[in-house]
Amino acid sequence: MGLNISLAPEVLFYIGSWPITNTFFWFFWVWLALLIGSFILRKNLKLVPGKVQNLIEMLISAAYDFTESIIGQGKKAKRIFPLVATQFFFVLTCNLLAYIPGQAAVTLNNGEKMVPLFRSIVSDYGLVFMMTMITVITIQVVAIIVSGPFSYLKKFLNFANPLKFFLGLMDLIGEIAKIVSLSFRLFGNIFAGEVLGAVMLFLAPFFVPLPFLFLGLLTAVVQAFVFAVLTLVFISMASEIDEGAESKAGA
Amino acid sequence: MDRLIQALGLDVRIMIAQFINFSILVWVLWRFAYRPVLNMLEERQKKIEKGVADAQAAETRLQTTTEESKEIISQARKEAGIIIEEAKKKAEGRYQEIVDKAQVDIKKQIDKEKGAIAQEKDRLIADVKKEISSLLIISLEKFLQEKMDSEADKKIIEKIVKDLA
Repeated sequence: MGLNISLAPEVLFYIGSWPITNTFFWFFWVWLALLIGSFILRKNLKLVPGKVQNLIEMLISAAYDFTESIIGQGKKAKRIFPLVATQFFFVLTCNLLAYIPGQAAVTLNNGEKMVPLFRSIVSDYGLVFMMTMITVITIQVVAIIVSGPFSYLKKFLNFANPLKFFLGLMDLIGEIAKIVSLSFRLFGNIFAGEVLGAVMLFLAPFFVPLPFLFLGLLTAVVQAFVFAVLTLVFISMASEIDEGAESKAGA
Repeated sequence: MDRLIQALGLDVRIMIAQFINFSILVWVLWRFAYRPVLNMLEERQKKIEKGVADAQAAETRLQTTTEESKEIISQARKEAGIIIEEAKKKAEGRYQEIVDKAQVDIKKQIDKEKGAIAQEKDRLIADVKKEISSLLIISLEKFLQEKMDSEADKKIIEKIVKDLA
């Protein structure tokens, strides 16, 4: 048995011409579980909560309080909360799913070779890139709404003087860097955790992988949190740009 | 770039599918999980606040009502005392009146009886006198019949009786 590490998610099978990768396969199940779970929650919501409802309420209210503490109370928090919270809960669910034991052993023959059936969902760069794009595009949209399209463009393309032009260029690069840093942080951490776990399991199957497993568990929670919080912070910053510029212009 | 995309296994179709799915997830979670839960929390908070406020209000109301009822009871007691006092006074006055009246009535009755008795007595005396005088006449007649003639005798006797009476 050789160690087979692939940067890309493996294709399990094809539906028509659509390649279904193992990450997409599990993405679908997590997605479905969260959808059905929220429907069930909505139906069973009671004023006097049970244990499960209590736990969910605690999670959601803690997440909401945290959001408010960063972006401020009121409409802004209410608008941005769904995106940020979904990013957090979704990534967390995906990451924790990887710690159900025994999955690494299950493989599937896709016609060409044996591929693992399970792969940590977030270690699919396509998914992470997509979520990062949502974040970055949301940031731009918020900035445009808050400061208006012209001053938004002016931030990046300013021909008033060479210094400002250069700073605008830097801002542009900064926005692009956000995509890279945000996506590769999450993807890299989770993928690295996967690889590390696999390598350790390959080298010494007993006891040695345990500390790495715990570290990986920590990473799973922390990275989900970091991704969501960075999204929140970026959006919060974008929504406050205008106030800073106006106060400067007024002074 | 192509090689990078290949190495990372990026597929635009899958990414679009994931994007759509993720958007649906965001919407559904917001609509069916976050919003109801947050609303529920708010509602519960309001209910608890209302409950606490109600309890406080009830307590203060209880206190005031207790004080009020105490006041009312003491007032009622006072009034009852006054009424009893008045009733007593009235009753005493009426008693006195009745007793006085009774006394007066009795006196009247006694006086009346006394008058009747006195009349009776006078009549009796008169009757007795008449009886006695006739008795005397009869006895004197019998006593004097043999010595005097009856005519002169009678005149004398009558005269004596008259003087006697």
